[in-house]
Amino acid sequence: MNATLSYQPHWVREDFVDFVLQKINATWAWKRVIAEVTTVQPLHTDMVLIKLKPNRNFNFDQVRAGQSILLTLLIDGVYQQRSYSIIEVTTQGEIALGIKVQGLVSSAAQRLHVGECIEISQPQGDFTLHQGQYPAILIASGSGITAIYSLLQQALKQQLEQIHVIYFNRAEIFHAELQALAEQHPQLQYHFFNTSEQKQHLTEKLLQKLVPDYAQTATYVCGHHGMMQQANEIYAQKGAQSQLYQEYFQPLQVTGTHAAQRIIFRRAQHEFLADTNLLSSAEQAGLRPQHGCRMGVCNKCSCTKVSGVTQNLLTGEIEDQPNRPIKLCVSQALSPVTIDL
Amino acid sequence: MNMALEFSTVSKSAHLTPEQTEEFGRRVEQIRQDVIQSLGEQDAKYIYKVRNFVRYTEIASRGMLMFGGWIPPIWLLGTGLLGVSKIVENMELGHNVMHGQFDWLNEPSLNGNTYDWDTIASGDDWRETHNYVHHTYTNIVGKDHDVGYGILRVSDQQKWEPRHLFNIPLGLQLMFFFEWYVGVQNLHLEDALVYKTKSWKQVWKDSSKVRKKATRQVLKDYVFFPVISGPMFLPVFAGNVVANIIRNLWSSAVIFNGHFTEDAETFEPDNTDTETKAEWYLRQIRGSSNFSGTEWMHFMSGNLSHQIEHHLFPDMPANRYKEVAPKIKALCAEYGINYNEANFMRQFWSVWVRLAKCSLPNHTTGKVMQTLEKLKAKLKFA
Repeated sequence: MNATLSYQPHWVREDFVDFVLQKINATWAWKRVIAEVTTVQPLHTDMVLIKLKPNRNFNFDQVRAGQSILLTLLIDGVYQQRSYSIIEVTTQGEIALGIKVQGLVSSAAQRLHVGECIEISQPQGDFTLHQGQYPAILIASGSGITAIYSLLQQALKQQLEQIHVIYFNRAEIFHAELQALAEQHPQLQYHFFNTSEQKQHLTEKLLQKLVPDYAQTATYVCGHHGMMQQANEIYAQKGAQSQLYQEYFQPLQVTGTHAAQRIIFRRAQHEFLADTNLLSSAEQAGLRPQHGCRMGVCNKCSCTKVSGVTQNLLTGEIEDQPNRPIKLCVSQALSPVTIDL
Repeated sequence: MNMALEFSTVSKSAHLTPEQTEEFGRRVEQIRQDVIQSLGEQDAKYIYKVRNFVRYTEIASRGMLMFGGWIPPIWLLGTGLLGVSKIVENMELGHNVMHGQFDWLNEPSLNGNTYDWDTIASGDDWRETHNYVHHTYTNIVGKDHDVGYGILRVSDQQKWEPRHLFNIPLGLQLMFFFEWYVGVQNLHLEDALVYKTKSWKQVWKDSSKVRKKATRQVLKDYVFFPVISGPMFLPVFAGNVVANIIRNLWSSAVIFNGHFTEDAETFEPDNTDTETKAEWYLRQIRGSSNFSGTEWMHFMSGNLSHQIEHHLFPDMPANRYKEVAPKIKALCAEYGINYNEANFMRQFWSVWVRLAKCSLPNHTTGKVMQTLEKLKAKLKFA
């Protein structure tokens, strides 16, 4: 936690090395992962399939189905990041992503051209399949299908005893592929709801009908907020939350209340509740993050917010993007927040 | 609020009522908000350009020294350019980035919390002594170590000691070795050397970061680059020494001009605990001084020529200070607050006048000034 103890000068400046390397080859970098766009292919009117070939810094052997990577794109001079589920890793060493237009970054990502080089992260996330061959339920809505499709392939590879895929979408993205898989694999039960034709939401009744013993089955859900919440409620009522695994790909909704939020300092492995500015709350919890003026001037308490939503108490600005700098002394958490300290 | 000290020349700024002060603070805040909300691509492009300027000038200058160092004009050009590169890296890039001015770009190599610049001071020490101590307790005698760096006497409020007789030569050598003094600033060596209130053991303990950083800097400039230049060892070595000194002289001059000019006020540590933001703003203005000049001059000083604006808004991208300056100046005029601004040479001259005055005890300086006044009057009549 005390960063001051571990000070090391930059013996060699990494950004300078990368600057020189990239003059020679656009995908060369010392430590960072730079990937070349090799395929841009529309999957549907508002979704594209993008394949990226990363440089040798990417840890392919660490990729597990259901994980995602962060794309870093330079938009109007500012580096913006967004996380996308890995659909699959091809035999040519490419990472396939399905990107749906939702906001600033995905719109820019859709405009990528073959041959462009962008920075990506190592694989990350813990939305991954359980060990063994126990059955699983995979539920997706909208572009949540990218993560679920990846889990499904892993589930087939692991030869799970039974697999249910429940999929809601307005568009038939991956529908044909899923149908084909269901025909090949008798253990796979595929339930598709085209929501532009029939209004169907995830309900207890539906789940009960499709998978009667759902509360005893490991369930993986990825999709819109409404559906995620619905899944939460259904499993909570059955007391089966431990069976439920969820992956959020949309920023959490801001409730507007200043209720106490759970804060994680991930390097220090500390957790606490914050109901005032993050610096004071951390101190109340017995932590001592580096700080200075306590008024948002000196920047000493600035650190990286990995995830969650915070509000700047001076400007009222809301920060809901991953991996953004915030100043602890003038930030309040509006959702659970993870900080790189 | 913090009033100017008794002895110092009567403040040129009007005394504001608490209501006026708060209103003044709100107006300053508004100026800040307008700029912060308009930050965008142009500011991003600017700092990327500055970074590229530093990279290309460093490559070019080191290349010249390495391959043409034995030819005097090329040595001069290479050394001068390396000095310029270091100046821009330290001031317009490093100093500003380390204030967190460009954190919003989300570019890890321009992050204020991790950036480490090309000078002896470690980034971590600097964030403590400068970003926190100096910018929070600006010009408060006994709290802001930048008031004389423990070497110089720059305020009447500092107790006079015989060593201050050497204020002028000490100031000159401070300029020469500036990066080293900034590097060891948080060690408060004067406490160990002069006042004996700090043990050398503690100094050694506190110096862990600067020892690492100094090792890196010395190895880079005086071992690595000379050695890889083979037969060009000596020209490269000498070029690096001189480039570092060029940077030391210029950056110290810019910093002296920012706070040591005659009208830059110092303050008593009376009520910093209860000070409001508006009072803090006012103290920043009264304790800082600007110098005017060409675009080039502002660029080379890392926009610290706009020291007043920098002290009001340390986390505002420095390329915006020039657009804010006229607004602050007008606001100061409206409230009768002295906006301390003059050209570079006038400010620099006034620094040395101040250092000279402070080299003698206050009462002696008073007498000397009286005698000088009389002499002047006589000369006028004669």
